[in-house]
Amino acid sequence: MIELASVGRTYGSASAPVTALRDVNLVIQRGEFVAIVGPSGSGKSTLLNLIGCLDQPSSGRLLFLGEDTSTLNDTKLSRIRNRSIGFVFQMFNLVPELTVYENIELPLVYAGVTRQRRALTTKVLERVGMAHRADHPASLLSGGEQQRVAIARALVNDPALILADEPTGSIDPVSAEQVMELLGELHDQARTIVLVTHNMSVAAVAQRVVRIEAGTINEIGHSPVAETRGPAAQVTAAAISATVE
Amino acid sequence: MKFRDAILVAYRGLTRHWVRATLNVLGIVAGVASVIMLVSVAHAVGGTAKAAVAGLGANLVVVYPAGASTSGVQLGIGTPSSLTSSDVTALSNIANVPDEVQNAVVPSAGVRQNVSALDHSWQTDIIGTTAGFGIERGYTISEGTAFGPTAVSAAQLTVILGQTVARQIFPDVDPIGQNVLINNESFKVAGVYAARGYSGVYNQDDLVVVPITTLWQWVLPTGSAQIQQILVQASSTSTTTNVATEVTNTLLRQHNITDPALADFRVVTQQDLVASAERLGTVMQWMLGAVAIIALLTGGIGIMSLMLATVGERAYEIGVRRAVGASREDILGQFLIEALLLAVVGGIAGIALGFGGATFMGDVLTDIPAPVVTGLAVLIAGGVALVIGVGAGLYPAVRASLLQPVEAVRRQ
Repeated sequence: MIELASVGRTYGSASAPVTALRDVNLVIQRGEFVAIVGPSGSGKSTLLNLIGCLDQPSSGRLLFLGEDTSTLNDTKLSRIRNRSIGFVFQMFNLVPELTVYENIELPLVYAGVTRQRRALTTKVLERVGMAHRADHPASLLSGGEQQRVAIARALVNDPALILADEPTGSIDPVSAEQVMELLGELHDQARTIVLVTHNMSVAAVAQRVVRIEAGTINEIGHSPVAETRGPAAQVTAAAISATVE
Repeated sequence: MKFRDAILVAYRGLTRHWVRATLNVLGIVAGVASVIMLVSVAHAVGGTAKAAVAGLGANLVVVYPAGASTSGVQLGIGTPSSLTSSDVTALSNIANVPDEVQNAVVPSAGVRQNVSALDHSWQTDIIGTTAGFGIERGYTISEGTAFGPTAVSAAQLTVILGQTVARQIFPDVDPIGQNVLINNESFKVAGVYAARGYSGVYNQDDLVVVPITTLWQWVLPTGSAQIQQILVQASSTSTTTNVATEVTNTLLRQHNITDPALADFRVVTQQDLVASAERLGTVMQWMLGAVAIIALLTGGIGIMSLMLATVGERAYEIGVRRAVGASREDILGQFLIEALLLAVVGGIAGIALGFGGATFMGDVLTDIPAPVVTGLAVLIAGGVALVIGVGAGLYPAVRASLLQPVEAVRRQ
């Protein structure tokens, strides 16, 4: 589904470049659950932004569904983000002044969906258990609730790929457990999931763990837990509780 | 993205910051309203100035001493006049200005003074002229009689009152046969002119008319006998140009001037006056319009600064929208539509306020002619508001659309 070939990403001016990623090669198959782990500043969020077409590589090639993203214009990239990708951020990134409902329907608004909008929005709203908060301003929700709304927004266009950047990083353990359960369910429904975290026990839920350090991938390992998907959720929940405490 | 959604998104964007949005709308409202009001006043004043000279009568040729006022309507004591009684005689001579092109020659002079009777006093224009004045200037006698040539040749102390003067100094008495005091001389009221109303800003009923010889002898200081204006009425509109030429030639001969460029008088037809009044009105409209458009520009700059501040402040929101699939065009559109909505709302409110303000000015400021709101003024004000609104919104909108989605998400 996604293929990175010697991808590099450099910020700043030509005279004083800051290298965030260098020579990254990575293939993510359809239906995979991949965790990208690494310490802060290792470049894992940069990698996720590249995969999510929010950013473009400075060098190398990134293929999204077989298409080289550097050849796509802004409209096409926006369409990919809109139709094929659902983002879940650490800070939720809801529009604070909009209501829960309005936040969730945003992708549908930009997709030009009109007739089915209400039905689709309501469906995901119920799925994350936030239907009773539909008309609340997003800014008045707790962190856990906001993250559930963010997941609903990520799901509303039924994307093939879910990108989650430290989705449990800013919420309480119980909410984190719910969020991880939701991600697990989404994976079970054949969605591709790429999760960025610095927390190894969260990463343990994934099938595959990609370690990134100082902008390079230096270790690719398979999670032992992910082999047995069933009880994984409980294991993770316990692990999360332990680390948060 | 559907157009209806684009409008809704922009609308929600504005209502979330409604105080700022309102302030911006007010800027546009003030601009549009002032364009409409100022242009309306200019239009009305210009229009009535034109009507004032048009009211002189289409067949008139007016002779002024050189250097006198160009307006031709107001009579006042000016510089010593180059026009004399013998000029009037020469112009009246059929040999000089044939009677198939000319009806009457009327000299006049005027001064502003008090007219009093019993315990009432009123300052007005005292106009000295001859019997033909009323006919040429369109005054008719409503009571009493006009004075004839005898009154002029004998310099009789007789006076005809304009309606305003009659009402002011004889509020309760029939003025005919009464005496009034002008310059401490007692004049007998022979007649009263029928009301004519305002012509532009000039109250045509605020005057008294006496024989020109009487004015020279009894009202003006000794030795200041002069003619400030000679009206020559052509027999028809088509002969006015002809008459103007005859008059010019006659006076050049009279004054022994060979080079017309050195003439010590000016000959103007009523059409010339109308045209210059029209030009004046147009210039005034554009001038006031320009002043008002500056006000509109200020409103536009307000919109631009709000929008720019908004883009910085909303970088996060823009990033979120980009992340969930908004394209550059979507963001550009959102900000442009926000600016457009401000301009449209401000424009409509401004037009309404402009109408109201113009009507109010007409009601309160009775000294000026009632402002006339023209379709052109509304069109210009509305159009400029729209252009400024969109123009002011364009740069911030482009800035917003060029924000990289990832940059925007980062700046929380």
